[in-house]
Amino acid sequence: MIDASGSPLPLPGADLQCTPLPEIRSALAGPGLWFDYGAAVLRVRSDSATLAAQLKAVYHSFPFACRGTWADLHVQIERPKNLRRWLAPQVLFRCDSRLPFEPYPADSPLPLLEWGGNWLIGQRLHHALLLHSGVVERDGLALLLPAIPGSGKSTLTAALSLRGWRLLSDEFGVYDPREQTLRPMLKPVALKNESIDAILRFAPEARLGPRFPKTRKGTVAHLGALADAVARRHEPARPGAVILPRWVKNSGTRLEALPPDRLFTALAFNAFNFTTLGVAGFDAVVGLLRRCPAWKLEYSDLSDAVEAIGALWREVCSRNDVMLRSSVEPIR
Amino acid sequence: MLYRLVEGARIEPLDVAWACFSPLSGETVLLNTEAAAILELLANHGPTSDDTVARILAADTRTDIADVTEALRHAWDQLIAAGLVRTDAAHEYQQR
Repeated sequence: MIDASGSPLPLPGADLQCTPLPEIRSALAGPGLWFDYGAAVLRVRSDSATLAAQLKAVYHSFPFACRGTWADLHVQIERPKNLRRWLAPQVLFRCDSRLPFEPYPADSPLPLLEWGGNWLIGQRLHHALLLHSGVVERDGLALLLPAIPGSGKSTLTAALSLRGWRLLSDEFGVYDPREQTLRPMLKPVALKNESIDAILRFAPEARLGPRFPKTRKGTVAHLGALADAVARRHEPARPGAVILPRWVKNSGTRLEALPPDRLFTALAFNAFNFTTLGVAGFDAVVGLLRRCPAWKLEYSDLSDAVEAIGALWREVCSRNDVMLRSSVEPIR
Repeated sequence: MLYRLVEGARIEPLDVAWACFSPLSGETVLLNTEAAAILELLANHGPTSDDTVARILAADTRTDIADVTEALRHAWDQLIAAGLVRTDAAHEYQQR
């Protein structure tokens, strides 16, 4: 296939890793690239010299899509028109003709796109409860990993996704109160500082994107979603359990039941739009609370933690089977 | 003065605390046992005076009424500030 100018077009359905860089650059400079995360679609356009390669490395298994019928978010990553185009060059994040963030160095457009995209999702997508949580799925049930920054949430989410759990999200637990399911928001897992090497030691085969040093969160590298997770990004999962992780240096792996008041606080007051949703947000959190058993997890060794969660999951699945069979409101 | 539970308020027990949502303030607060007991009583009895609330709770818990009144003293203001309880006067004003 060729386009109007005679250039070859990628085959329909081709993913980004199979798409030549010039095609990606051309799409970014023209109609834009469309990323369907599952619960939201982002369209990005850019004249950045480096964004195409960074997207190809991190969104490797996403389809190459340069047109679409709907995008929730339209953004541009662009070079400034002033002297900074040439002198200590930068890139800007533009959305709806506004520049909500400070510029980034020109060689770091991907972190700017990721953080800017996350910010927009948190600001705008109010048809679902947006929990600040990693989410992975196994046996049709979702495991929520809500936590405050620095607790090891992303590291554990990444590790589970590299051990057979399906990644739904690193940053947003998108809970649909009407369907009572968690929907994927399949953005890359943002690993920071020591987490990057921790994941590479845990799974040397992990496909990380480039490292970006000296960001406001230190060094950042992104783990792209695996092909299976991308293919299933419109497949929701029923809530199964909640684990509140906390990485503690040199600690053993400890799982302890989480009291309901701590669980409520962890879900509600860490959510991006709990207050915005009003009573719907309250009811959604209460629904999750009634359905999900919860634990807090203290860990320092990723392999141990993943193993402990795997063992716990058998209990979660059998409890869920009982709940489904009895067809009554679950009792905590 | 009579106090009433704000219509549409949500109350969810969480073992040692209660999560409550107010449709008036749009806020969620965690309540202790004393405050939650007031809400529960207002939900069951309708508009009630603070003296009556204290008397009923004292009888229910077999506690001295002076102790109960003291324990509830700060709870009323906090419940009103959280938009979970209104005085009857405020309710009537809004109805007009």
